[in-house]
Amino acid sequence: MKINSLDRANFKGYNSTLKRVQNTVANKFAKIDQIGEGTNIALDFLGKAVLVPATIMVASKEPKEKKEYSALKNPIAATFQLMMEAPILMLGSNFIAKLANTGKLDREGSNFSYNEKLYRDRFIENIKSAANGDENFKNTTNELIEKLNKKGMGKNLKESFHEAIENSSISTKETLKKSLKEFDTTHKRLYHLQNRVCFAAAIILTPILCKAEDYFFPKIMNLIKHPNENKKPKMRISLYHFKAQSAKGGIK
Amino acid sequence: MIKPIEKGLNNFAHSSFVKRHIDKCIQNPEFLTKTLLATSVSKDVFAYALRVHNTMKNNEIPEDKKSFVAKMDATTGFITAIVQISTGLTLANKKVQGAICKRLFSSLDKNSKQFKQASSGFAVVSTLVGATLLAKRILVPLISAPIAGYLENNHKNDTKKAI
Repeated sequence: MKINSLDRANFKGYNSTLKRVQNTVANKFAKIDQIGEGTNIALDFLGKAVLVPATIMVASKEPKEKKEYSALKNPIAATFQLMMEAPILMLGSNFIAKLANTGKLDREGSNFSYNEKLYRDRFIENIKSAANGDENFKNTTNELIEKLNKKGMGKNLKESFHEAIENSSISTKETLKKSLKEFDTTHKRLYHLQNRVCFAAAIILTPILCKAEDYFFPKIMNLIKHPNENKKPKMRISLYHFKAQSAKGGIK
Repeated sequence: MIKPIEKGLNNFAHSSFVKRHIDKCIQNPEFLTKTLLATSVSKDVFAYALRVHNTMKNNEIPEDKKSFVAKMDATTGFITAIVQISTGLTLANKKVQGAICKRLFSSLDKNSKQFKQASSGFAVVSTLVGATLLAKRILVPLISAPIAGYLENNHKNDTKKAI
């Protein structure tokens, strides 16, 4: 049997699978919407808690005890960091969103750059009034509005709204597109503001984090390395001794 | 208590620097990637500097381990910043991204909307994963562990000579 060459064109199955995988991967990446501090915190935790200790244990030529001490510091630090940064991001973001949506971040005049609710309500109102004469558009947009109320604005939803507006026969297409763009931009603006404020808060609270790490790290290491040292010995006493001590006035 | 926070946030949100920065983040994904890289690096540098300071002052860490832990932190902090920035900027580079995306999404038409969206998403994710996971968490300990060991040995030799 003679084999001249392996030509990829002959592997139709392989090519179609590869194409399918590429399309799936491309779809996943295309759907990525807002990457911010949340992703940064998650990646940081993963790296610090898993990758760093493994790398130190494999690469460092220091004695095992020292390596372990240095390597274990990272998962402990990562846990403290996560315990501080995740609540800051969640609570801080909610607080800022609440302020923005109640108009507390608005400026006099017509500067409502962060008031997502205002632009959201305006957009929904515009959509509803435009859909009055078009049943198809009404049904489609009602479903989309329901999704918007449940999950909030996202890349896919924005595109679905855009598509629905584009494919409709309504006369106010341009007004709706403008309204959608304003809503989307305000949503993004608020998201980035939340991220930057939470980043600043995390930086300000870093000294507390470091203090907590330094306070708890030796104690945790002590618990890991010498688990029995900190336990108080259990008092053991026989019935005979108990009776004798009780007769003398009790056991302290 | 809430009122001053509200006022401070309002001033911060409407400052011309923040407004310009946020608008640029929305319009330019490359700038957003670099911003996330910068926030990650600055948090690390600040935390490592504080950690070194606190470790040296912490009497509960045994003396023989204290200097190694502090030197490891200092070396890691310094190398983290350099490696992370260089890896991040290399990965965020348009030419590098173009070359990777061309191969990764070869099944898509290069001018299609999906290709552009996928490339933009991939650029942010690959830069962050490359900088915060591969560079910061694998490359940095690999580089800083021998350097910290070397510094530790030097310190020991100096102490012996002094005695």
